[in-house]
Order: sequence, then C-alpha cells, then structure tokens
Amino acid sequence: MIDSLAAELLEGYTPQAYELSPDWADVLRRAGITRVLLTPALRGEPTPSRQQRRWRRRRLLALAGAAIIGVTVLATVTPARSSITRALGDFSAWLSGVPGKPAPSSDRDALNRATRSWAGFPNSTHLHRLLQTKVDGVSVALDGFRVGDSFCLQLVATGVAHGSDQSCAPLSALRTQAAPALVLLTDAAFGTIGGKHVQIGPYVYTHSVRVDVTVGIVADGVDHVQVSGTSGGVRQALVGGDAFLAVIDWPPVAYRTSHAWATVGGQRVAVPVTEAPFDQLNTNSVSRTALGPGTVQRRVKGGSIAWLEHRQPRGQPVPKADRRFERGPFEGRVLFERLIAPDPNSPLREIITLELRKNLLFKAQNGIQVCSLLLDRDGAGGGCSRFDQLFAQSPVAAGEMLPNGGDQYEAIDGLVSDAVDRVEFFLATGERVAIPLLDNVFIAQVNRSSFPVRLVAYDKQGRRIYVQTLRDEAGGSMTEPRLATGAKWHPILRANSATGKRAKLLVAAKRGGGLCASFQVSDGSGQGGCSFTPWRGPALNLSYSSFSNTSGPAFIWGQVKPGIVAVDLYLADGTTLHLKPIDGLVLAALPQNFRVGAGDRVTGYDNQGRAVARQNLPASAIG
Amino acid sequence: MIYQQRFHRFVRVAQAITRSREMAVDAVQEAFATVLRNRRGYRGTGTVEAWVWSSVVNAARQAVRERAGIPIDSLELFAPATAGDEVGMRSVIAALPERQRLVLFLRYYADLDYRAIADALDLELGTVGATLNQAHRNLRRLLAEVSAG
Repeated sequence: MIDSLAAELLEGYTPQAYELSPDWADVLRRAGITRVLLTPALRGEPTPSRQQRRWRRRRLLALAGAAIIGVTVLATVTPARSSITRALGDFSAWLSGVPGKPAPSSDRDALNRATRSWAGFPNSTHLHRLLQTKVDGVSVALDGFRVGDSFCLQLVATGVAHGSDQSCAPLSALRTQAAPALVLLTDAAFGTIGGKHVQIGPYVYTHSVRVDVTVGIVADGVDHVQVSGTSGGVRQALVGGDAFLAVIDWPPVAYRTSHAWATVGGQRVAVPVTEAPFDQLNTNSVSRTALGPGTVQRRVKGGSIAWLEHRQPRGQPVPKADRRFERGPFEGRVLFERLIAPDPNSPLREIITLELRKNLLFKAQNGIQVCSLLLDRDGAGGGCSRFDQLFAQSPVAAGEMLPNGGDQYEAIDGLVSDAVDRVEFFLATGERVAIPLLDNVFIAQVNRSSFPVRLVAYDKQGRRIYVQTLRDEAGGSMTEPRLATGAKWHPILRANSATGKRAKLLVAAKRGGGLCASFQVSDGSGQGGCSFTPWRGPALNLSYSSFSNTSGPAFIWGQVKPGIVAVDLYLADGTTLHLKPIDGLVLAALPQNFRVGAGDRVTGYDNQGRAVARQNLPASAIG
Repeated sequence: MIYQQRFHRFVRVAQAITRSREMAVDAVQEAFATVLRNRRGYRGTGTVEAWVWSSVVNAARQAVRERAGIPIDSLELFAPATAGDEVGMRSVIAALPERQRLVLFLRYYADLDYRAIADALDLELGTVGATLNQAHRNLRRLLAEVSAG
C-alpha cells in the first residue's frame, strides 16, 4: 500500500516534463568528443560478436577517413562556395561593403558629428541610404554603414513624429547566418497616439506608438520579407538596398514583432526574431536549455589583475571624448584608467579605471574600486566593485548590455583574473565560440536568439574554472503573471510620501494558489512578482523603493511569511515604523529626507507577540 | 540506450534534488558527459545503470551547491509564475530528509534494487533498507498530519 502511495506522491512531486527531449549531441559536446564507441551496456544492446566488432571497427576507421577527405574537399571547394551560394542568396553585398547609395550629406554629417569623438568610430563613416518611406505623416529613412568588422543600420524619422535609432551586429554573423535575412532591430517607436485604455498585467496604458519600425538586412536575391507580431496578421516589408524596412502605423498597445520570413527563389524561410520586452514585462516566451558544461573542474577564488594592480599602461589611454560617460552613483576619483579593445576590429571597447570611492551610503564599499565601462555605439554601461573583492568568489566578473530593447544583438563583457587563460561561449543554438580576450578583458556580441549563453573560462591547463549561464535578461526580467481564471488586480495598500509620490500595492490570485503582487509608484517605477505555494524563501523579504546617491527611497514594501502578523521597521536614525501585513504584504512611506543606513532592520512578530524573523536592510539595489 | 530510454526519469529525479527543471536537465546532460569521459574508469562492480544514476545524483547535488550563491529573494519574488502546485502532496515529499527522498525516488521511480541504490548513493546495503523503512514511516506520519489538516 505504501509502495503505490509513495510512487503516486513522487509522481506529484516532479511532474513529467513531456516537452523535454533527450539531446545526445549535447552530451557528446559536453564530453568533448564528436564520436564515441559506446559500451554495449550503455547502448542497451547485446554484446556484439567478434565479427561484428571487427566490422564496427572498420566502419569507424572508414568514417575517420571520410572525415579527413571531407575536410580536404571542403578546403578546396571553399573559393567556389560563394559563387554557388550567391545564386541561392548570401550577404556578399554587406560583406564586401555597404549596399545602397550615399545618404544625403546632412545625414552623413549628423552621424559623423555624433560619433567622431568616439574611439570606436573612424572620423568619417560612409553612410548609405538603403530605403525610405512615408507613413501617417512620418518619413522613415533607413541607412547603413560599416564600422570595423561590424555593420550598422540607422533609422531616421522626420515629420509629425521624429527621432533616430541605430543597431549594429558583427560581420561574422553574416558568415554563419543560415536564414537569408537578419533582423537587427525590432519595434523602434516614433511618436505616440493617445486615447487608449488598455490593461496589461497590473498596468493600465493610455498611449500606443504612432509608427513602429522593424529593420534588418537581406541576402542577395531575396524578393520579399514579411513580419508578424503579437497581435497577429502578416505584413509585407519594403525590400531594397539589401535591407528590409517594416513600418506599422498605430499598432495595438504592447505590439511586438515576433516572427519574420524571407522569400528567396520562391522559397519562404523563417528568420529568427527575439521579441523586444514591453515595459517591465518580458514578452518573449521562447525558453531554451543552456548547452555546454555546467560544472567547473577546479575551483578558483581570489586572484587579481597584475597589470592593473601595478598600474601598467596596457591598451591605450582613454580619449578625452570617452570620459563623458558618467557612472552615476558609483563614480569615484579616477586614479588610473586605460582603454582596452580585445577585438581591434570591433567598435566595442572597455574603459577600465581604478578609482578612490567615497560614498556616504555604503561606507563598507569605500576604498579603491575597479570600474569597467563598456562603450557601445552611442552610450556606455558598466559597474564598479572593490578591487580587492572583485575576484573573491570567482575568477570572472561578467555583464550584459542591451542599448535598446529591440536590438537583436546583446553585448557581453567582463573582467577575468590572471588565472583565466581563455573564455568560450556555448550558445543555445549549439555553437561553441571562442571569445576575444586581451589584458583580462573580454567582449562579444551575441544574437539574442542564441540565449541562454553558457560562459566558460579555462585555466592554462585547459581546466574549466568558471561556468556561468547568462540569460537574455537585459531585455526584461518579469514574465507576465499567470493569474487564476477570472482574477483581477485590485489595490490592497496605498501610501503617500512626504515628497508627493504615491505608491500602491495591487494583488491578484495566482493560478494554482497564492498571490501575485504589483508595487507601483507614481514616478513610473515599481516591481512585482508572484509567491510560491507552499511558502518558500525568507520569512521577511522587504526592500526599499528605488533610490539614488542623492535621494533616499520614498517607500518600503515587501512580503512576509504567513503567521507574521506585525512588522516593525527600526531605522538607523532611531525611528521605528509599525507595519501591519495584509495578505502577507506590507507597504509604508518612509520619513522625509530618509537616507538608507547600515543598521536599518526589520523584525516580524507572530500573533503571540514573539519576534520570529529578522531582516537587515538595505537589500535593495540602487535604481 | 539508457540515455534515451530513461531520460525523463533521470530528469525527474534530478529535479527532485535541484527543485529546478532547467538545472535538472543540465545535471543529466553533464552526468552523461561525465560518464562518457570516464567510461574507462567503470570498475564493473555494480550495474552500469547504477553507475549512471550515481553520476546523475552527484551532478544534481553539485548544481544545488553551485546555486547556493543566488540570493533567495531573487528566486522568491521575481521568479515567473509556475503551474499550480499540489500543496499537500509536494509538501509531504519535500518534508522528507534528502537521503530518504532520494532512496524513495531511486526505489520507486528509477526502479533500482537495494544493491543498485547502495552503489548509486554510496551507501551500505543495510543502510538502504533502513532508510527506506524510515521514509515509509515518515510518509505515513506526514500523510496523517496533512489529512488531519
């Protein structure tokens, strides 16, 4: 009786994942072998006879010979390959230059003005006009240009709505692209249309965009490109100049391009597209399994970057123009700085600085900090850490940067300790890519349809010393909550700050039990998520609303474990706030001019008045 | 082959350890890669299947250890909503000590005999029987508690 019951309980504990399928090729890749003679037991086969074994061996030898011949043949036909594939459609026009006609001089001058000071751009970039159209009073022009081993598209909108946008990708993408088109940027928005009232998740939206634009390049011979989005319907894009331009006027609120097809030689081929996030919601529903090794072979903690420690002048000096990028609340007094370009042909490069930091909020982090700043086409992003703590837990500190939610290529960069000899990415699409690493800095661009990416670092002996799975999270971290059928969002707590900000906490029943919560502030910031059932996690999980180096948070909110009926917030300045949870959630306005301080803490009490849980604050990120 | 035939069972047991489907798949893939890399190290003292199970369990445990650095609040509050949980059922199994839970899975799910479980978990043969008995007793007690509300 207990046997069948146990089996039933186990069934319920981890339900079968019918959508999963075995991937033996991945196992072989992880094992570092391309072909293996499995033992009969592993194969589940009877032991082969002596004759069979001999046959198998001959067959393997024959296969090995075929592989060598295959390599030779491939090497000899490669020069002819381009002429064969050109007939089928390739990107030779982009690989050999920039198609189209020179763009108007005013546009070229504007681009050169905007980029000439940037270390990654040459002083004069040749801008070519690829396509243009006019929709609903908005003229949209698509230009292309090359920078080193990258190619870029630029959108310029003029008329009743105006603006510009750019997106770049490495040329190497064209050499490996299987589809006859490559999407570079989706859902660039120009102008707004009011009068709408649409609720998506817990949020109400009153505006849509006037013109939504998706662009990319096409291989020679592509006749048509079609796109479709989250609201359905297939639209024809303009094709010309080896590029395509899809313009949609007045799309529905939260419209996102989700699919594209290119037609070449009468054959319609799907082109990968990764949806842009909408607001805080990640609308992309594609979920892939990370490939590549998942564990390290040697643990490495500690370590440093010797050249930086000794302030050796590696790389290049930082051009004055690139010092304009501010690091916000993390900025300190610069003691030493260098510009590192791991791939000299890529416009992406990294500024590494040693800074002396004095921060009143986080005194524990004061001292010498190292900052890395990835320079992209028109901006920069990065972060800082105490130099002596940078590699305390692992030999790699990696980050991701996505300048625009609709960009199809995301930059991944990082610093590695001297223990790292090389870095590789294992893409979810099955490719294994060696990443340029120079002076302890690596930078690479990855198509978002290739995420999750497994970053693997090796030591000089070839052992894996670091493994990290990177997700395409720069484009949106929240999935739209799955609510119970018919569930509606309703506010349960409200608070007004002394500075006039308003906050509210909305809840809705989660499918399968539990609650989803949405914390919204009148300045547009907010957070949200859903609780697990049964309860998992810390008994108290409170955090401050977003704050900066110059102004403290206005609110505190969070979740408490069932059974906690009262929460006291003890602030470092001696103030105490008494909070009463409703549905396991709390929200309160903080005192005027409140500053986060070490020593802020929270205590939770049960219905007997006993202190049953404690949490130290701050736990919130600067936002 | 074992991999194809038992893939979903391996994933489910690994998921019982990692509490994450993705980590479970990763652990299974890594476990088989380890088996392939070390295939010459198979001593032949137990069944190949028990050897593979041992690798899967170790890979899943290793994944849990590596996850330990992730702040729990990021998992807790901002994880995507999941399909409904069978609260009672899951909590009963979740309440068991890890060794008891693993022995249950390997016995009733992987369908391994005591010897194979002992090999997979690196336990004495007698310990397997004792652990299974303890798991049965605990299951009865926990189910009674859940039924009593």
